[in-house]
Amino acid sequence: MSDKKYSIIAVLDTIEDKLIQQSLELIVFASSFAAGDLSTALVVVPGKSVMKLCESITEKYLIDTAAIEHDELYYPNPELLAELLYGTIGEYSPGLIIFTHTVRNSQCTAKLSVISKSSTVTAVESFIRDGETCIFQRSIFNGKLKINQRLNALLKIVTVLAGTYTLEEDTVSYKSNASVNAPAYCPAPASRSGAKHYGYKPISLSPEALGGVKLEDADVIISAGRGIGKEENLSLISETASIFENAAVGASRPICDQRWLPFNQQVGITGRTVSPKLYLACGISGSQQHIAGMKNSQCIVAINKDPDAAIFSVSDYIIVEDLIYFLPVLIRKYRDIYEKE
Amino acid sequence: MKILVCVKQVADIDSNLKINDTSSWIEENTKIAYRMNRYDEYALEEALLIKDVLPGTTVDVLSVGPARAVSTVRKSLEKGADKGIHIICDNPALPAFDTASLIAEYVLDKQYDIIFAGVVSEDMMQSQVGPMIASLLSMPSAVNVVKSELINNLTALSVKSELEGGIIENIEVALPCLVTIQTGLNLPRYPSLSNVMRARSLQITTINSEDLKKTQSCVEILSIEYPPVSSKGTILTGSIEEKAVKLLNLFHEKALI
Ligand SMILES: Cc1cc2nc3c(=O)[nH]c(=O)nc-3n(C[C@H](O)[C@H](O)[C@H](O)COP(=O)(O)OP(=O)(O)OC[C@H]3O[C@@H](n4cnc5c(N)ncnc54)[C@H](O)[C@@H]3O)c2cc1C
Ligand SMILES: Nc1ncnc2c1ncn2[C@@H]1O[C@H](COP(=O)(O)O)[C@@H](O)[C@H]1O
Repeated sequence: MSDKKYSIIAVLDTIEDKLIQQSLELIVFASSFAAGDLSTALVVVPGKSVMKLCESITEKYLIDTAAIEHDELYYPNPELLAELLYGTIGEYSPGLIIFTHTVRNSQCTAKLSVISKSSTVTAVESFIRDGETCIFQRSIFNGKLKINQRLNALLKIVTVLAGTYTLEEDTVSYKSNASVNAPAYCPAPASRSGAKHYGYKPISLSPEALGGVKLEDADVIISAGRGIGKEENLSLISETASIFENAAVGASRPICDQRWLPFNQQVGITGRTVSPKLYLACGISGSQQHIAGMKNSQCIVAINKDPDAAIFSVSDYIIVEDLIYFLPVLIRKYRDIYEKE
Repeated sequence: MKILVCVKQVADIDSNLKINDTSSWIEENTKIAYRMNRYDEYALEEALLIKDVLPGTTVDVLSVGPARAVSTVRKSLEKGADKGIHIICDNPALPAFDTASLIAEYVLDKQYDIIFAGVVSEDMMQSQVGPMIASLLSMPSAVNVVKSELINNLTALSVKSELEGGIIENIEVALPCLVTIQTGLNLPRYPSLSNVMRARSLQITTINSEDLKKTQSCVEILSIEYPPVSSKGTILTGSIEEKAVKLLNLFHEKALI
């Protein structure tokens, strides 16, 4: 291990030693935080055997990397990762450690911040730096409001909302003469290897259950949110879908939670990621988790009775109406105008 | 089995929230509907389901919050919890570490086998309080749980934790532990009449947060603000019929109908 100090440490995500590509966005955040100078930034890659991965990242982004390896990091293991990070990165004396915002990484930051007595903020969307102090901004109340928080501990731990610092090939400034170190290797302290004493043991991964409608294949997705009010009103959604040739019905999480539709029709970060020609969101507020699954649709239309609904910020067409009244009118007008042709 | 459920009272997001004069938090007034954090309803139900099948199980509920939060504790008792604890704290915008410290301080000598919390609070959205409580108490935690089951002679939980993309990770966690519950893993019950009657006779333990406070986090909440209106979208105008026709024209132009 080199004795170099780093001001920012970015912890990437892997599953079964494969990199979650989106976590590379952290390099963009780090670059922005360090005003373009990545020479004191270190990328940490946890996994079972990830030195090769580190090398490829160092080569591609000209940034120092370090592998934190442990057999039990083959599957995500936030409990163990927090301990290992605490044990290994201390000597780099970083001021900031960043993760991609996920519930798992929030578990890791919670533990890391308790054991290292540092301060933490999760799901950060932006920051303002003023000398040593730094103010982080994030959403509260499902995006209805924003909050500004300042971290005062010497070590600050942040999870960054995915999709806010996007990785375009040219956003990270490469310095051709940058001198990067060969990846550092931080094996887990021997006493810990294979230990079960955390009381936390990942066993296996199961892929999501497939089957039923294939949202990914539909040209048009009509999605129902909590705003439909009652299960009976799902018929309005399916009737609306029936005016299109190749349409499927999707939903936000609460609809699936209530078993009104099966979970494989859920759109969002823990459901499907879709990019149809048309995404029609009916009574969906536009939480970060939902938007993550549909923001790449070619055309987004949202119907919501709240003119300030967050879904409108990603919509191409905005309809402020009560869907219970609007959808029947839409269907009737369709029949009047198009079915008579 | 001795179980604790952490329940938070939150302002309903559809209550037309306004920022207060000092921009420190929302304006708390009588027009706001307060209710139990949705994730915590599922956490409570998960605890009650264990109580239903395992004789001798007790379910305590704990909430940190202003005076109003007592109604959420009461609601939990009506659903079937045995004991309610209200840690009174006037600051409704407490950083996660402070909330977790208060709860951990209370829990310290109580010997719970399982602590349930929600994945996230709908107001502060931190996903920190649960795992922070666990760390403060040096117990393992599992988060974002969509299924949980007692195994190994009631000494461990086998849980399914949901990852991004809907992948499920199967994990075993030894008791005592803390688990944060995702929505959808059960169907929260409504209070039964008999439980509502029973709850009336139950005393809620109130504790002043100052009496539990040991440390303070280094997180400062500076202000809250409205998000910038950043929509680049076209607002369809006119009567409801006109909007419908405009939308259909659009679908037609895009050759969708
Ligand atoms: C780890 C994690 C993962 C998650 N994953 C997902 C996911 O994959 N997908 C997902 O969707 N969510 C997910 N969620 C949940 C997410 O945070 C939100 O709670 C959820 O998306 C809200 O769904 P909604 O918009 O339907 O409901 P609400 O937020 O309750 O919104 C309902 C909307 O309907 C409007 N409305 C009400 N009545 C009417 C009417 N009559 N006409 C028109 N509009 C009306 C309201 O104005 C409101 O905007 C996840 C959460 C967590 C913590
Ligand atoms: N004030 C509180 N009182 C009781 N439980 C809380 C409180 N704040 C948070 N929690 C618990 O912690 C979970 C996550 O909250 P948060 O970390 O704020 O997203 C909630 O779902 C609750 O179970």
